[in-house]
Amino acid sequence: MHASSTLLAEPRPRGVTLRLVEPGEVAEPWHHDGIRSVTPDLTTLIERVQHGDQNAFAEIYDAVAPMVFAAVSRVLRDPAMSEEVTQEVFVEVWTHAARFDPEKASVSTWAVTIARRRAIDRVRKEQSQRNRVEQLAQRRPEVAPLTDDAVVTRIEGERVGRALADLPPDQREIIELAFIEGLSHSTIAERLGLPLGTVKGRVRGGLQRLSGAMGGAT
Amino acid sequence: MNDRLDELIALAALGELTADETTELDTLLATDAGAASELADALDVAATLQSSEPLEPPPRLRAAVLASIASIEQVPADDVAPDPAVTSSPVSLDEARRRRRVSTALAAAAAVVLIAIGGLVVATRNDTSNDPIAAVLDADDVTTRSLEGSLGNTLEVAYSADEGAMVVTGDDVPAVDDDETYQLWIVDEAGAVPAGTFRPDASGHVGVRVDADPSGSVVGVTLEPSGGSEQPTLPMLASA
Repeated sequence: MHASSTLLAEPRPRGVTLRLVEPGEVAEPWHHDGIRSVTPDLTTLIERVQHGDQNAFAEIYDAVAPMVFAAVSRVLRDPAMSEEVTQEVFVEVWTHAARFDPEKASVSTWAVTIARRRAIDRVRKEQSQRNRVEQLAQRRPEVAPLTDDAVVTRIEGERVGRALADLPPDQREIIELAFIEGLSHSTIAERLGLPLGTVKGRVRGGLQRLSGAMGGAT
Repeated sequence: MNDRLDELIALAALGELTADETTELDTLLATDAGAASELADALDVAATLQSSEPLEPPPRLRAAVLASIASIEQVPADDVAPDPAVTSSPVSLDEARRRRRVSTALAAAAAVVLIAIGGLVVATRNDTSNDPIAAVLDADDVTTRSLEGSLGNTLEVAYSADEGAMVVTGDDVPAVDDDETYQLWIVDEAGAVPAGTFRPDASGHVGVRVDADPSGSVVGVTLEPSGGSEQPTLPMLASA
């Protein structure tokens, strides 16, 4: 995935900005169409994984590892820890392949959902939220490919990019902190001085709006 | 829609549901036809956002993942309830137990690999022998090591090259269920070779002879279904 390595070499501007992927800039097909577009192939593969097919598992790894690793890294920042947790995620994908239900989610969404949960679990195990906030403040840029205060998202298509840009500012801020910055809702609440319920409400409201704008079922 | 459902969907997307909340969400999903698609859409959007900047993991991770799954058993479909919340949270004590076993599998596997690395050679002998246990324990060239782990330091491995066999002995070894057995493994970087099963007697005593050479390799013990397994079900309960 050359797009990602190119991106990582770029310095990140400060401030909350959103840059849409430009025509011709997108290298990966799923950037265009979003996660849903790869569903059929991966679903076939995971059915083979459900029967113990390690080759099919390797193909799934190749397809979704950059998404999983990105999601884990957003939360954990630390590269070594992110690798560990990414490995845990794929072991869970392997051991619990039977749990996957194509009617409920795409393989990518399933894997990234596991990734988020395991990364958050790891944060909880490793440190208190207070330590987390302090660590973020002291974090060195070279060990953190993802941005902190600066939120620059290369969104997978103009649909999501526009949808995110069109969110009300209060929802957009929370959505970006949660899913681009990788913060837990309690950390967000602490940082912004908001009640937990408010943060959860804006997460839900933001996701609903994005889903509607992206042509979700709702 | 109701407020609690919205809150739980937000937490699911955030990966922050507790086990109780997962159960609660599953209950709500079962009684609200639209809730499942609401959740699916929320998770889909959240996943899209989180993977919007894909990050290629280092190649060594691919090798490590593929190596680790090769020796980790999958949870059978019969044991896995379909996952309404897509959150894979424990749905039962048994499932929680399995998850713990899986979550520690990597650490155990990594430890085994680390210990075994260093150019060790395993030379498993499969020739059968009826020599008694004492022949190994009393051999002039016998060497011993204690296995360590969650079983406690209850097991000792003795090996005699003259006898071409190792003996595992122990006292106060925890009993296992009728449908379970301990299984021995000889582990090196090439993988884990099964080296026999054993169960403690009523007094907790173990004495088993295996015609195998553990020199330079890790000897490990796992808990397996009766009859043993082809591959170890991690974690290793004891190893050295």
